[in-house]
Amino acid sequence: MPQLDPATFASQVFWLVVSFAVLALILWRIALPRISSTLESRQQRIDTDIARAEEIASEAEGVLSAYEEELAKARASAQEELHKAAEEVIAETEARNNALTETLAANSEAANQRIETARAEAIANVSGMVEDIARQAVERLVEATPDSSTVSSAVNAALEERT
Amino acid sequence: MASPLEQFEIKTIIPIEIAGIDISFTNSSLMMALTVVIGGGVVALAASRGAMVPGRLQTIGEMLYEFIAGLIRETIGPEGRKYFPIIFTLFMFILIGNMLGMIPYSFTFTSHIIVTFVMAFVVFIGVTILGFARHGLHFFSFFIPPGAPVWMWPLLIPIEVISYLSRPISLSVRLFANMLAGHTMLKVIAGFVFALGLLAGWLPLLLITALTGLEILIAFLQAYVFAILTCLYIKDALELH
Repeated sequence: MPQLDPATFASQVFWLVVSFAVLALILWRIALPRISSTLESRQQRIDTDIARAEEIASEAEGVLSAYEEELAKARASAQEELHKAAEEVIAETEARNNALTETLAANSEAANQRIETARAEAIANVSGMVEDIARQAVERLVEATPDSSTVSSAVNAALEERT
Repeated sequence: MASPLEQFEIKTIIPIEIAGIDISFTNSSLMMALTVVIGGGVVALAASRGAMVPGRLQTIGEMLYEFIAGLIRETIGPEGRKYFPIIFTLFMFILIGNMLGMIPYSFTFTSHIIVTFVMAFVVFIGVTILGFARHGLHFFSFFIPPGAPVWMWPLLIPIEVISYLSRPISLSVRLFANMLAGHTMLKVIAGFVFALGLLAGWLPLLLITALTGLEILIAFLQAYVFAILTCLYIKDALELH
């Protein structure tokens, strides 16, 4: 069995120590620090990227909530405006209605008065005319001139009866 | 037909002798040098670009790095960072040595007990020095199992001491025996391929193909086991129990 030949031991141990030392030196001094720094910088980059993404996400959320708040405010003010406008319209309608009613009442009052006066006038005119007619009729019928006061009282009585 | 053990023979390539000691450059030394070139080269090349988005080679380097870093984090904890370079070197050296050995007609230097023993012994000595440096004479309390009644100590302490002293042996023999057995078995079954000829030779050929896959797994696994046991020993030295 070649493994048990001590003559080769010195050479194997010597070259083992040499090659292991060289490999350890290459890895320890050159290769591993570089890999470690690469990994670290990558991790750092990932961390900062994640932090930035989170920041942006929270910012977007803030903008969204501000927008929603603004929207709600706008909605509320629009509602209020609408309410106010509706109230105004109602109030104005009422006022106009009242004014119109008043005017109409006043107009009809005036008209009634006018009608009353016209009627009184008409009645006065009619009584004068009727008196004349009645006197003339009496004159023709009995050929005597009646007393004017008698005629007027008679006519008035007759008119009163009619009206 | 060559003996299945012929593959383990040390062949001198460049004879060197210093002060009467033969330190010739052999096929074993050649594979060790290749291990340094490949291991150091791959990892150094992988590390050289340092791109934010790694390429293929860089990914391999970073995977190896993360693998060993994770192993140390899980076994030793954050304190293990200091031992990362040495454990990484151990893992790479054994892994590449084992893998190179899987190439037909090459040589597996980890199949020699002297090589694995020197590595295991250095780990053992290093860990023991670490334990004494960290805890002073209190390190001896490592040999007293926690919670054991005092009257059991005369029995338990020798057992603990023997088990501690046998660590370099078990660590080195595990790797050496796995490599030796695997490669010998492959060679023996490869011999059957020729012995059985065209008629039934394909059967051991199929077997040897499957076993080669298994051996590659073992080549990785043994490097991993060596690294993880070194981590555990370091943890024992740091924390005692």
